[in-house]
Amino acid sequence: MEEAVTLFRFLLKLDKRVFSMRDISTNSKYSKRVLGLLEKYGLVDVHKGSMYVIVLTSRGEKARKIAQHFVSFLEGKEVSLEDTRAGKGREVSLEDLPDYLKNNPWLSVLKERK
Amino acid sequence: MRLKFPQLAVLTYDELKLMDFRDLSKATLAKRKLKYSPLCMRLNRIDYLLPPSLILISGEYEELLDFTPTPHEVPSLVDSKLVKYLLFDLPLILYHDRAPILLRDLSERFTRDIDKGVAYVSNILARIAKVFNTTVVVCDKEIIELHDSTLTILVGKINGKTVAQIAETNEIFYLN
Repeated sequence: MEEAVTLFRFLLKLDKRVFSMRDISTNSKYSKRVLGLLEKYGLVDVHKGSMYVIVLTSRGEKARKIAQHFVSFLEGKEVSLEDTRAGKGREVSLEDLPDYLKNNPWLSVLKERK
Repeated sequence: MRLKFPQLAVLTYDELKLMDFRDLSKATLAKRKLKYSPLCMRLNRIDYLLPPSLILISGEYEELLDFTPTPHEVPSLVDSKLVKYLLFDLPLILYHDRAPILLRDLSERFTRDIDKGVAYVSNILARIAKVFNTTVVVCDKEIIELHDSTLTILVGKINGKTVAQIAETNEIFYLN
């Protein structure tokens, strides 16, 4: 239960899919604890280069949405747990491809560049 | 395979993974490091300032093609050559000589999977507009949908007069 509360608090304030240890907290002990929990529950993939790059898995993305929906629910707003296509995609992401491009045949061009 | 900073800033993590590029921390750094002031483009025929984002001009667009500053025009490449140019060449060109971008006749640039090609290019161009904080204009004679565009300008004729309509605001401009 305590772990769930810690994760809930973190996921609620998380506003991006890719983040660093510093985005978790400037307190390194606390950020290591949160990262440990995120990994334990399969919510993130961790890439270690010159710095830690932490990427939410699809399970992590789902958990983040559930946390945000819970707050909306408490505020009396209509919520749906179905994935929604955000607006008309006005704010393009530099981090992820939108879902509608995930199986796009033109992505094969990238494999030719390996 | 070596990727340069401007390319890493434009490529998403999903795309980098498809290329077996593992140093995501370098890509994250690139996305954070490149910061530019806005570079807009004026549409002289209607004296309209286009914001630094992806813009679609549909219909008889040639009537409108008078820009300040002069944009960098995407060469007449098709299919995978176009996609490669946008992902790998254009970021390097803009890194050394930042300018607004113009791409004509997008729907004619694919010989197969046209809708999927248009959708992918739309997303790539929106990312380029965001990374380099500049205006990117796509023109097409067909009425197409660009999922990532922020502004659509429709050009056509009413009673023999050419008009441009800003779709989002319904503003109408007569061109002659």
